[in-house]
Amino acid sequence: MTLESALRMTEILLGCALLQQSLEHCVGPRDEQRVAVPRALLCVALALGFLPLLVECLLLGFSALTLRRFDGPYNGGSDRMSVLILICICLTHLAPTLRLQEASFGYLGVQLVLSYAMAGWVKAVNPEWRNGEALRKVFARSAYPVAENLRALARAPCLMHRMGWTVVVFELAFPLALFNRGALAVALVLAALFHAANACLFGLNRFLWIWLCAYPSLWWLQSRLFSA
Amino acid sequence: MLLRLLPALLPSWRFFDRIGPSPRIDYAWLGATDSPEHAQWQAFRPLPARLSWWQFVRRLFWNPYWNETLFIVRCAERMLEGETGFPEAEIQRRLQRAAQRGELSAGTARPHQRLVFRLRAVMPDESRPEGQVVFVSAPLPLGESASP
Repeated sequence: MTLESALRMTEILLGCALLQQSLEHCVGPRDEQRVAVPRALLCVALALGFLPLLVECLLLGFSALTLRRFDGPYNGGSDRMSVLILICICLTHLAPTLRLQEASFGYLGVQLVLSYAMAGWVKAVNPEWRNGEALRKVFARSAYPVAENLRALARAPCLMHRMGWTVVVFELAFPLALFNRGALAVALVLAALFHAANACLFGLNRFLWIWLCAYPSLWWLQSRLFSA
Repeated sequence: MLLRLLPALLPSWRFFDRIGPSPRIDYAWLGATDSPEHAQWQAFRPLPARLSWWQFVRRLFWNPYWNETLFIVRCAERMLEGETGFPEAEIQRRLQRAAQRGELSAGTARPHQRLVFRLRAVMPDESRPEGQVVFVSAPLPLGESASP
């Protein structure tokens, strides 16, 4: 995959993911609709590849407005990932040399790896994650499960223990997949399934779509670093 | 504005690193002279008993209601952390909008009613599932500063 094709694929995916977010705000309060409608139009332009640098700069402006309106992110990490992707692809367009373009786009791939590795590390050093108690608490008492019957999962400590360790090991091992193209393909599919599970169990649908947008950067970075 | 974007360049990615108290929001309607001590509290957006497979799939693509709920939960968490101002005003605003849309049960048709909300902190280790009341808002006339 060339830098150009990976960048284009990122823009198409990002246009679709941000369009999904914007349409959700179109049914929100009026002040949100006023931002969401033009943002949705820009997302269509981004997916179609119309004046990408201008559109990305405008979308960054809308992101800043949104961060100010909500006094921070509306949807936590997914908003931060949206801004990170926009900044990286803007810089890739603006960079005057190929090396700087590769550095800008590759930084997105590096951050994608870190998003899994760091999330795994902070869990691994927490005894509650190691003994399955953390996940039990999330299901039993947190505001995240999307239906009451999911809270029953907390009463299966063995399952919570195994699920907790599966998440920790997968997230920590994710960087190793960089060394082999086949392993990376498997890791990205598993990661997407992990996000889909989070979307179903905890309603974190925006995380699924926005994390997928960063996958082309890692796919490209792997070949750039390790292909002969 | 630029300063708000820059932290995204170095994200911490510390998802679920610790499991703290979890907020619950209740609301109540008060008559013109009622006090919150005698309010009949109801849970704001209680969870459905279960979701169908179709609902799980649909929510992958269309989930504005739940995403707004997550935002309100985050505002409530900020209040549990000691913040006031924006998170409290935002919760009031969202509740007022929910009331205007008829989402809140009981009381919307009666005149001179005021809306109040309270926060409960549900501790992950405690046996009491109802948690502890940590905040009760001032009464708000329905419609004040709400945008439909």
